[in-house]
Amino acid sequence: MLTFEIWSFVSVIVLIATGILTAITGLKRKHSRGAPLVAIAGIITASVFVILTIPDVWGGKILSFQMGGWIAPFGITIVVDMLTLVFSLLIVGIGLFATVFSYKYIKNRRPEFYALICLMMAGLLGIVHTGDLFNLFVFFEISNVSSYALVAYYRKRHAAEASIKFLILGSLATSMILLGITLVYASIGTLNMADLVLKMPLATGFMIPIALVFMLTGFMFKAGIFPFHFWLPDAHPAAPSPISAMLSGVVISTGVYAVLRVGFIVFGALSTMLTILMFFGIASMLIGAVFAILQNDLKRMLAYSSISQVGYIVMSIGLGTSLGLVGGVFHIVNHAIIKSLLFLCAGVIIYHARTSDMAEIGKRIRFGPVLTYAFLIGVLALAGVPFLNGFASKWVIYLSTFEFSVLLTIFTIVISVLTFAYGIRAFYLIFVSGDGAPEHKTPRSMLAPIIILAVICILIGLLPQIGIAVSESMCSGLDPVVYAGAVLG
Amino acid sequence: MNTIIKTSSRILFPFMLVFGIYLALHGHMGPGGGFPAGVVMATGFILLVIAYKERKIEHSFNEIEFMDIKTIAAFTLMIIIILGVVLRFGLVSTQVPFDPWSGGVTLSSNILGSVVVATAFVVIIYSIIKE
Amino acid sequence: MMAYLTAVFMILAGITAIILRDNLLKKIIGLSVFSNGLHLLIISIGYRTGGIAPIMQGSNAAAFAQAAVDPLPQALVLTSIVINTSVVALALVIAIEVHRHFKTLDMRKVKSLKG
Repeated sequence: MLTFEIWSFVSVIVLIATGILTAITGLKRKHSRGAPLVAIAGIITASVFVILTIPDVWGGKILSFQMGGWIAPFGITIVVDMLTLVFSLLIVGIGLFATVFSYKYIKNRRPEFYALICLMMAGLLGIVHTGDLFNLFVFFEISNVSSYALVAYYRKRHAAEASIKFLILGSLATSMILLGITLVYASIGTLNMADLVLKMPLATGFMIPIALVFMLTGFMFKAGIFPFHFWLPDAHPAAPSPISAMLSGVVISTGVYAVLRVGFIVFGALSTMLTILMFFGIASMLIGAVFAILQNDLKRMLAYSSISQVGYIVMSIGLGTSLGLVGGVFHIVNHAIIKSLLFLCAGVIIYHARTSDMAEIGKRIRFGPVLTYAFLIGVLALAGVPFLNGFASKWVIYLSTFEFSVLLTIFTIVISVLTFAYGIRAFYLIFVSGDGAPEHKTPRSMLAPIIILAVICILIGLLPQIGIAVSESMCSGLDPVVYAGAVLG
Repeated sequence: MNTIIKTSSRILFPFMLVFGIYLALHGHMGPGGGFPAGVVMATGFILLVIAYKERKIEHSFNEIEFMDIKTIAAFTLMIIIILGVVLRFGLVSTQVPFDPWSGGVTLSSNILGSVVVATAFVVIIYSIIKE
Repeated sequence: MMAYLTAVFMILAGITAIILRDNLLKKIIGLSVFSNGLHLLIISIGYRTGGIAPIMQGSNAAAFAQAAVDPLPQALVLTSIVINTSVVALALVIAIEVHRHFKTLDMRKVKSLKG
């Protein structure tokens, strides 16, 4: 009956439907017991669809599907390749963990919360699946608006302030993307990404680089890169912890994904763009690491750490070599897993300690072994200690910077040392120093995602060859010629 | 609010609803479609809410009821669009100009979309005004 | 030509309002003006002088394609108007929250987060 070639796009539709269903379960009353279960069922269904597509794209093949039967380039194209699929797995997986975590973490289970999570995931999945610039903009906006509402979920002082600043800056950023899309359309006449690959060399004039600048501004805002990172340290701590895990883990990665797709495929990898990315990446690394050490608040420190790690990723992409690209893409996946692990641990910590000041937490509560080891694994993986997943991707990044300049390698290693420093400082303040009352029992639904994520960190760390092979096939989809050939035939 | 506004908004209200329904039904044959139709209908309701003090309006419509209508309409819209894509009802490709019954799913999606938008905006602005 | 100038003027006015004004509601109005100016710019790009609306009348496809105004920017703008309306509605609700906590809408005083 269904003649979809790509089953994973169905996951987007499933998630939107789940979001609406979840809202229905809260019809007559404000609290709802059924909402999180409906949401979890919907997310599992969506992940089944994503997993079904894995055998089709394994090994670097690119699938494309035209919506509504309109042939390319007139219709909207859905393009799925390995890059898309790994990102979809990240989104669905971390979303599932966040929703399971919030089953016990969020006190009054309002159905809007779960509906918003589902809509945000649907928006993110749409961003990674689309092959059309306008569709990218629409799904971008969907995920951004859901995250504005989710950051303001707790009706507290810092949440309201963070959310309004996030909202105004975010709307400006997506309007920049729209402006860039307009300029592209005005000079070329089509918005399909594969078609733009064919027509971009013919376009002359000054509008194309300006369009690229506008669009990159919008995407770098979402990714949290240097001049546009100011919303991040306010918004990520203000959100509830599972939402912070999704924001820092997956939403930022999707911003980098958009930079990759639009910068590399549509515009070709212009050398000026790569230089800009590298410089902004270096600046983000430095600013993120330095500010993270100065923080006393756990979640704010983790937010600055996200800025620093995204700086790694973008700098590595901006080096221009294929090794740099592989390292950057691999680090996106690793950072998503590590950062979600750390934020979920932070959620458990704050659940028990009722505060997020690190010294206070250390004085109040002594934590059990599971949480201690999980947090330690997260911190060590973030710093790039061998046998954990952070080491594999950071080693590739060191190698690629070594080809460029030795000074850059030394700088990168120094920032890694700083990363280790703030991580271990957090670990020491929370888990080692002081002694307080032993913790109450942590609900299993909150510990299970943490344990699974920590195990994944160790697994990827012990088998880096698989990770690097997957990253290489992800990057093969970023070649414009291959992409256009696969989509347009 | 003085008598001129109260009387004129009471007179305008049914016309705005009719205009909104017209825009929704003619969405595929002219300017309009679900979203502007919803906005026009919502403006009709909000005009009443602003003109009269809301204590008098509160017994006329209930905020929770509007939210129910909105989610049910949104869900039905979702189902119809999915069915349309699955069973290959054309959306625009089977459209014959000026024929209201061609165009497959478009007609029902316009109507349901306008209901969703109208109820959503009424709920939002009503809850803002109540503060 | 006038449409382009008006659109650019609205965009600049909107950005100025967001940056220079202190009151939160004025910033939100500036956001709305900015996005409307952007939409005007997009639609005027698709305009053809003396063109007709892109609703098909008669069955001569080629002559219709010559005479009609470009419908793709109109679809883009319609979607974007919907999104921006929802964003402004959300912004107003959050502005009420901000006022409830800080007792003021002056954004210079809303600075409880540091670092």
